[in-house]
Amino acid sequence: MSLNEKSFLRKNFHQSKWDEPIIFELSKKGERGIFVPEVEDEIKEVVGNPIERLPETIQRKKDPNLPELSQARVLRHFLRLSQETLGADLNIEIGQGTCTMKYSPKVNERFASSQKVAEIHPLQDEETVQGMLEIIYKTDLFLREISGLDRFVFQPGGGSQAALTNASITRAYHEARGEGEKRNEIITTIFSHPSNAAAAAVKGFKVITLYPDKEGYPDIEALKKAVSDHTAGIMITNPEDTGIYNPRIKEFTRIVHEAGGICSYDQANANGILGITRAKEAGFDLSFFNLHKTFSSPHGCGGPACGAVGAKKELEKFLPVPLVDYNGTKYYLNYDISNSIGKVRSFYGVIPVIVRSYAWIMSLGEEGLKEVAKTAVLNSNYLFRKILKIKGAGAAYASDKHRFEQVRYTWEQLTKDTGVTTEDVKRRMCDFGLHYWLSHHPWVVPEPFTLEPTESNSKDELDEYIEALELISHEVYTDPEKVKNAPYHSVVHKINNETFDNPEKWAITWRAYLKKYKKKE
Amino acid sequence: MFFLTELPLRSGKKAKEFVGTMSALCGITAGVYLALMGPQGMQDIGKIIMQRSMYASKRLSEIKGVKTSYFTAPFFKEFVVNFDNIGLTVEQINKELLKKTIFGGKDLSREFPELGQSALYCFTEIHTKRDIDILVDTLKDYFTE
Repeated sequence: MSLNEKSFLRKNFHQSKWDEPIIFELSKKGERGIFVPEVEDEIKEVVGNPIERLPETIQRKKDPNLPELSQARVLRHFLRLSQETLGADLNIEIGQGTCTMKYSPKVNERFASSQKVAEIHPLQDEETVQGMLEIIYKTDLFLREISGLDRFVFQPGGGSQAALTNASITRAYHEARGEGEKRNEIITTIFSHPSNAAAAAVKGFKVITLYPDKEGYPDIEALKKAVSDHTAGIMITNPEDTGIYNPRIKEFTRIVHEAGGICSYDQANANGILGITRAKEAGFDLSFFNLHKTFSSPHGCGGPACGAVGAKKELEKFLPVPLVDYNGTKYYLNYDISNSIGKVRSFYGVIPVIVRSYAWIMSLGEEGLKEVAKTAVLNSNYLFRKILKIKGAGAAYASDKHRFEQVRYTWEQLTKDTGVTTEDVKRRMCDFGLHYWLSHHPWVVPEPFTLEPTESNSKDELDEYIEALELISHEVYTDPEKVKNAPYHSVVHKINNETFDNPEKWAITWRAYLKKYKKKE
Repeated sequence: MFFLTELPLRSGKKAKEFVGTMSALCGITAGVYLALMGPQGMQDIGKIIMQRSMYASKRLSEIKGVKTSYFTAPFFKEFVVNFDNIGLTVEQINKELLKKTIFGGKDLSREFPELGQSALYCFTEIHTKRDIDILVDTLKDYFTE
């Protein structure tokens, strides 16, 4: 592939395939990766054999069933597995819409993995962690500026946990007003992240889900019918995962407020609105940002992450403790929060994630953040126009209007014409070294795919991705079987998905696998 | 360490998939660690932690006025150290230890007032005999002042 040739598409791509066994299959009795430093003789003389002090009933009869490998073999094993994994550092990661898979500057890893960060004990005296507390406090100030809200906390370990935190604060708010029992309904929309509905349900609320109107906006008439004196609040994403910004968001929050509810903002989709519009003006009382999405601390396949929860002044008293405060001379942990919901996670924040986000925001500043939003939206709309021209492709609620930082597309026409599905396309994309994601269930938009290019990709990268989709579309209409039976150049070939829903077939532990497939240990 | 929460997708009991982010890379790190250690390594470290923390507990209890046999059952890694007979608070003691760049045990006096002026001390495989002896000697010197 060369920058001088017209096409960037990798037609000779093949992913590394190691045919690497499960680690238990590599185990060799007596092998060992690392030793623990010996105990000094004097200690042994003083305490003897500690195992003898344990009651027999709690002493293990069998060794733990862990694999035994030398250090070099462990290294090789995990490195090979990593080579069999496509990630944001390896491919043009625009296929994973809603996750905002942007470039995570490697320099920020230096900060996060520095001894000064990584080896802090969470219970250290506050005097000894003033620097870290300052970073947390300043990041709080940045997010206040970006959102217009009054206070942020960094305990939640992800977006879902932040949504649960907001649902908990919502409950605490109504209980404090003596309406805890009555206010038992939370409203959300079908295109908000499903974790909003899930968090509300786990918290014991009845969930009312609004569907979009014909134009793809959350249906305001449905909202008016849904609110009552049972409404505890609304928990929604905006812009939604379709890439559509609700132009009547202020009316939405006003309607909920008039009914006595409070409004929680899932800001997972903040990448297209940084510095352009804020939670405050949209009328939200609570919100959360995903530091591992918008703020570049990487997703890391599934964390560590942070769902930074923000609240208006009136709701500060419900926030999980401790808050990080500054008294003019020093930073400290503030546990004096009158109606706190308690703790949602140990200690006071997901430190390495906050450090990376802080560094990212500092390196960009106000102008940089605005440019992030504008570039992300521009990239998304470039993709949008190009993809709509591909045979068989469409976008839900397509019109002449622009979208935001992501778009939910559909292969509905393609599937009608040929029977090839979005899942088939997903597997064929693997053959070009590209990741492609379908979309959250439920599939209100049929045969979906959601792409979010972020600001990190250049036009060349977008063109490569578009070219892959164009080629696959062409293949679908001329040789559908080829696409249906993809992939051919990935780590494995087509997997039968049905096993994932069959409890007799799936196994998430080695032990379960041995049992279900009747293998000897 | 935290794994994927059981936050079900969309509804309560019938959800089949979970979609969310928590601490996956921490899980991978733990996996690599366990693979390097193996069953023998985990046994070794368990025994070593017990030996080091028991040594610390014994030496601390030998300081006049300090009690560590508050819970008489065998323990692993952590134990309560009581300073009631010293006449100083854990806060004062920890401030003094900090001057010597030692992080004292977690102050339990607010969360567990029934334990008086007690702190939770923790010793693992990273604490050498020398570290433990320095802690004990520092406390001894401070208390006799």
